[in-house]
Amino acid sequence: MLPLANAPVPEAAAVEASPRRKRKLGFFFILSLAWVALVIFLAVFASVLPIPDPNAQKAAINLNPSLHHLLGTDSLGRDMFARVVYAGRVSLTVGFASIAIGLLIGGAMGVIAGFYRGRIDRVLMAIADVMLAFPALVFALAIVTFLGQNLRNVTIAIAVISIPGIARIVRASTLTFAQRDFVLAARTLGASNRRIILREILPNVAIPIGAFSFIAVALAIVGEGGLAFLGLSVHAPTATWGGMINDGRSFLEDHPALSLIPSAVLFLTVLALNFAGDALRARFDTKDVSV
Amino acid sequence: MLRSVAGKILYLIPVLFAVTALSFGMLKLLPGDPAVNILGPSATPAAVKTLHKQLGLDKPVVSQYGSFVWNAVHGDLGRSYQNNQPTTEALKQRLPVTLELLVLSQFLALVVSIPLAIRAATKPDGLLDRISTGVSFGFLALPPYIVGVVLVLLFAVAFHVFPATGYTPFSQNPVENLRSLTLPSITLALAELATYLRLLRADMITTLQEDFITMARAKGMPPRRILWRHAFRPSSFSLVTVAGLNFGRLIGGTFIVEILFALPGIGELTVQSIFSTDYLVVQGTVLLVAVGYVLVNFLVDLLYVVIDPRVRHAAAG
Amino acid sequence: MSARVRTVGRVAAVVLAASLVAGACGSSDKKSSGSSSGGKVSTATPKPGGKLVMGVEAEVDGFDPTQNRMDVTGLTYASIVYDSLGAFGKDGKVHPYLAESIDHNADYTQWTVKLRPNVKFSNGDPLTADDVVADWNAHLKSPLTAAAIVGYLKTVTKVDDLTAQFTMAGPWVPFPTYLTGQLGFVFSHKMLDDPKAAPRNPIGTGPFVLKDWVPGNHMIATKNPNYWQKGLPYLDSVELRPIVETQSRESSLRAGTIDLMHSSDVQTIKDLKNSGSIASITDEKVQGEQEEHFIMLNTAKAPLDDVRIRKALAYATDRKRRIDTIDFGISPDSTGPFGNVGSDFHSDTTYPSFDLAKAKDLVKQYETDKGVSNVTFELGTTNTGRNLQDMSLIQSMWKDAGINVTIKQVQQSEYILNALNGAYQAYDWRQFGEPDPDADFVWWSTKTAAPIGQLALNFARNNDPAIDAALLKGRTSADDAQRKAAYQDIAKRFATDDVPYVWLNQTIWQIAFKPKVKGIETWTLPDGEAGVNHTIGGAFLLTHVGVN
Repeated sequence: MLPLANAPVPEAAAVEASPRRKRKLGFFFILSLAWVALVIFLAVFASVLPIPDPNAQKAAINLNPSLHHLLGTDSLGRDMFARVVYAGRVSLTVGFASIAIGLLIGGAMGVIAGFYRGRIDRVLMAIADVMLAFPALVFALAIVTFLGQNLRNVTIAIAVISIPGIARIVRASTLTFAQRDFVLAARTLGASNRRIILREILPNVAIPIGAFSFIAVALAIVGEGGLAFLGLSVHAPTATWGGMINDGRSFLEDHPALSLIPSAVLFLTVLALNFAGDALRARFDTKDVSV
Repeated sequence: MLRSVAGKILYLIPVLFAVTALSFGMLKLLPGDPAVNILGPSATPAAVKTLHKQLGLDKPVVSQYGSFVWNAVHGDLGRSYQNNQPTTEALKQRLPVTLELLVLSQFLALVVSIPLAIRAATKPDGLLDRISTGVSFGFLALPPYIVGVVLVLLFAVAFHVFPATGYTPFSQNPVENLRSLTLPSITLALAELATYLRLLRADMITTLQEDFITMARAKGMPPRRILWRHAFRPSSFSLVTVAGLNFGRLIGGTFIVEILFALPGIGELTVQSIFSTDYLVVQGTVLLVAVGYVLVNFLVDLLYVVIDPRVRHAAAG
Repeated sequence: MSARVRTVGRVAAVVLAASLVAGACGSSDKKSSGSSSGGKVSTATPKPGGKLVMGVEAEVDGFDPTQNRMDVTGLTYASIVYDSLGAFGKDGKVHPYLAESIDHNADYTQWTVKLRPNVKFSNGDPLTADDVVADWNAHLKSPLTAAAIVGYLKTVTKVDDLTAQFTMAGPWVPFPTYLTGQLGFVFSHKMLDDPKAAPRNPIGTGPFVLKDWVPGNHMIATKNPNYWQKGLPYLDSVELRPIVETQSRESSLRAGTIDLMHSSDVQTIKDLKNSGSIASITDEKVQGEQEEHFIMLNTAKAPLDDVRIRKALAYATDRKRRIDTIDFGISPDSTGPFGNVGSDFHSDTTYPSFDLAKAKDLVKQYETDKGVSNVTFELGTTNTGRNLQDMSLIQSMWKDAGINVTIKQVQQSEYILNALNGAYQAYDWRQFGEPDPDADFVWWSTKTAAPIGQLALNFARNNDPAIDAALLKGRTSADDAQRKAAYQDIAKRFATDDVPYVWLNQTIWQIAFKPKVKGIETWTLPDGEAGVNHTIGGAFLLTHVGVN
């Protein structure tokens, strides 16, 4: 690590932020929000809505979409619409909860390491390196073996796996801001470290991290599919988006819809989240670079 | 510079200790028995006992770890329980495959995503921005195990342009080597596109709003020069960090692509050895990945210096 | 990937075969040949020269028959560098192969194997009886291979330079079937001097000589110029590549990346059977003892310790619907341990057919009897997508009968360990593919049914003395009809009295190849009998194959 803490700032960066236009929340934003709301609504209220049992195998197999089966049936005759909806419960929980935990712990590690530098940085980054180098598969196996194969533990596994990466990214971002003039200015004005971190660093770091975290949610949802690929995710026959995509893999030539439907839902969801996030940031964030 | 290299090496030691001790301990806690893996379903109690003795598995875990460390310090990482191959030989055979796959795929991903992100950042929510974001998210939502299969069906089965599986070493036939790695590299690259694109785009948008850019514009600098010279470099911190992380992660983490394309890489070896409780081979791959991470992070720290002038000064100290 | 590790057990060769569901292992070819698709399988005699690339389903551990477990892939690898003493002919009998003759005394307690003269190992040493004696004495001490023979095979001694004698504890009629697989491969006694090097340095008399083996990548072997079968092999070299993902292996063949492959995956079998540019053969009609796919029940654990529940499960399983849904209607039905299609030993057993009312009735009886209101247990399987689909289907069928199971996914290495220890309730399993049912001795004997917590090869812990008696009769009787009756008795015990296994289907193996590959179905053994060419399960002999 480089001892950056007291490095002088050679370049005179501007202090004041330029005034910016507030962008309007447009059509895309409304559409994105509507989609996310729909997916969350269905996932939350699936059991009270008139949606068939996602594990019932009463229909014929590989049916095309119809009024009875909105998205057709899968290779066991299960209703695809019901499965996609119920899978949303698991996948959204895993995606959001694991990244939230990751951001909380990894974010704290990264900000502290990047702001204070020195020994604490070295120790925290050594911990991150150990976590990164530790084979994630062994960790996931251990969690599933000792704690059980359920939604909570899969979430914990993905959260822990995400922590060191998030810590490194947040640290990198903190590094750039910790040396900026507005931070130095706040320091000169006698602001405490805690205040600088909360008021100056965090809001600025939040922007690139925000962009990253929606991707991270998508990566976590797909990552759950990776665990399913290795058989380390939730119990069958519980549906998850990643698991459904993986299950459809061997039918890709004959019945591509089995993989493509959950893929499309996952795609639209992460895309909508990103557009919505972008639009919100553009509208409400006025102080991303300066005091 | 020299000092920091020496520092890195000193830093490596506790990291390696911690990683190998943790993974050794956790592997031992997991159910599974190397002897049963060797013998299969016909494992009788007597046979299991004999093999435990042969493999040194009857000793306490601490002394097993101790002898692993002792041997490792002397350059011997032991042999696979399963096929008796020296671990160092296995790593030597497999590392080039993974490294080549990594370099090619990350190169592809960066070459596509950097110009796109820069253009997209100049006009956020413009057509190019929307399309590039949409397409890259499409690939994010289509995991490698689907993209890879589709690419093979298309470019190997339907049109015999690339082989479906397998690996030819570069030294043996450079053209075949590149052909054998094209589809796997594309598969891996597509999965990273969205991450790189969105990260750089967000940072670029932030940077472009800064005053030194406005100033540069006011001075009448050509937009191209502003974008690449003034805006891109300070915006690439997150990108460099994540690319570095990916490099480290993928040393042992490309197993899905390696398995799909039957590439004999480190990731496949890691998964195989974990699932067959081949402890010493797992330890070998863990060591390699840890060294890789530390090296990559070292390079990333150096790159920070290159990227940001504010960091440059500190490099000397 | 699945990243699955083959944990298929082939202890003594084609002989003691056991395999897990995700693993695979084979049945054997005897008597008739398998069925081939279309008219694409060339019957022309191959011309010498050329190279063949085969895709196999797993990497092997090594080439040492006393140390390395040989499943279908292992047998394929081994048969490239070694020859077995005996080989099956189309008549279903074992014929001498590397041996010149295999004879027995009047009561089958002694077998004499005479070797062919002037055969050389790949290191130039002559093949002698010393090698056979050394090999078998190593097997008797091997933790891996001894289980099938130790105790019953007493001594192996040298009679003269080319003759070895096997002395048994009692009559052992089907003993020659053990000479066709892992135990039958003859390797130089010099390999025993350095056990660490042996797995990677085979010294055999086989059609090819190992040139280069990079585990996980490829194994290349070149033609043995001094091979004892004149004019063979046709190929100049063979390359075997492990491609674990079945879908990838299939794509590789269709893309022309490989020339030939084996598979027991129904989706692949279906695709390649229907492919216009690929020729294929399958083994469902061959005779012998076919490998079965079934749910193995731990008869020592409640509620499966009650035969009514085990029977209820059998009644509740709609095998036809399962085969149609999961196996695309390709796999043959199974109602016993010996393969419904093609086995000499199968007879129409009284095994329950699908009857939901009867299943519900048995469950109710059990519930009233035991005063419980809910029958539940765990159904284990390994981690492939298809297995999970399969088990989800079975779960829903059993639910209809009032039996609630939860599906538990278990890692391969833990899977076998749990089976051995009896630490399971019901496991998705594939096993019992052998050239002769005698090899099932260790899996079904009461002597190997240890209590829970101790390693036991009788995984179901089914204690039935009647089965012991039948197994012994099958081993010692010289009369074919009597042997057949003995094994049919076992099938009946399984069907009506014990029900330790809920049969699902008979496993099929496919060999698929480019149409240019010749010599697949036409070759003869040294004594003139037609050879069983292609599959021993998925194991494949490349000696007689050519590409020109």
